[in-house]
Amino acid sequence: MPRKSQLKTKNRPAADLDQVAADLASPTRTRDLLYRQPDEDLPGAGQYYCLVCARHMTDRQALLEHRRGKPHKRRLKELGDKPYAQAEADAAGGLGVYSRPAVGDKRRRIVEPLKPELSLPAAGSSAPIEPAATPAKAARLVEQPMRTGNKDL
Amino acid sequence: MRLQKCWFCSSNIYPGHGICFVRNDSTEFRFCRSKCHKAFKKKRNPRKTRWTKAYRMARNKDLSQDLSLTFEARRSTLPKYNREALTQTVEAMRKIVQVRQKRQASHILKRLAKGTEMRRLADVRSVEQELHLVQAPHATRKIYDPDTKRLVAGADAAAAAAKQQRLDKRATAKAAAEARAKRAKLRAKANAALTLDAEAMETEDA
Repeated sequence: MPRKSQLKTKNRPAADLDQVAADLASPTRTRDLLYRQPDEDLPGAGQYYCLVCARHMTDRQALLEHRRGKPHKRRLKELGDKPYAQAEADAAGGLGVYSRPAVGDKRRRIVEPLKPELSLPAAGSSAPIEPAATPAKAARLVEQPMRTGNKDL
Repeated sequence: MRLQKCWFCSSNIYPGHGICFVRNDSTEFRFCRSKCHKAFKKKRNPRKTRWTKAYRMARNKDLSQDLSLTFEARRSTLPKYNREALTQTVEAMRKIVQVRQKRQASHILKRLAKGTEMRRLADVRSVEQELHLVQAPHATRKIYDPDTKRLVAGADAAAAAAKQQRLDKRATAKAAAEARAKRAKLRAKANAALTLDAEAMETEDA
């Protein structure tokens, strides 16, 4: 159960699960979110973004730490389900054809994309990270399967 | 008049009721009452909340995938008034409601029947696997009755076993007594020999 202050409309998260699911489903959107121009108003200049939680981290260490955490993993698991939408509510209420969502073992397993250079072991904490996507990198990212069983993506 | 469905519980929202939340990407979330609105704000999942239609449909608790449920539709154009069509529609509505109720009832009965069958199978399993808790395996073992010279089971077997035990006890006692007597005899014999020896020594001394 979220804290009371989190229930206020002004404190809603940057993106709900259905919006994140849409981000993950679109390779161009994924690439744009991960490889953005440095923006000094964002934490970590917008270079350390967690797609699943729609949050910017301050540095590589914080991002990797966050990905190990429980809230992130819980959200990842929830993303495996088909996002709930008004269409499902309508169909369940008798308006339209209802199709049962996959549950349990049939649930998809999501592996969120990470910038390849971030997942490499740290050469040095001050190692510079290229701000924008080079065409080669962007292509590599698009090629990566987003819904595979590979944990170490 | 346009009826909306509640995002959370799928009930009808009549004009003037409920509340609508519009997210900053202009997605509308309509709620029939504050109960549903609060649940949404608390991030409850309608699929996991037991009282919603989405939950009941996802678990096959209510009838779904049925032709009688497909008549409700949202139309963007108004049909032109036609007296004949109207009377036919009203008549059809009555029939459709009857058919739907019948099918829903049979759906529930089918589910209940499955539960009965599963409970029956569970009982059979429990009898097969846990009989030893009610009847000890030894109780059914057959025992030789020395009197009747037959194998007997149940209460007779218990009696026979007790009898055999008594006989065994008696035999053991008898054997022990015999051994005791034998030992006493030997000891007496040895004592006698010892006395003889002593007497012989005394005569030699003399």
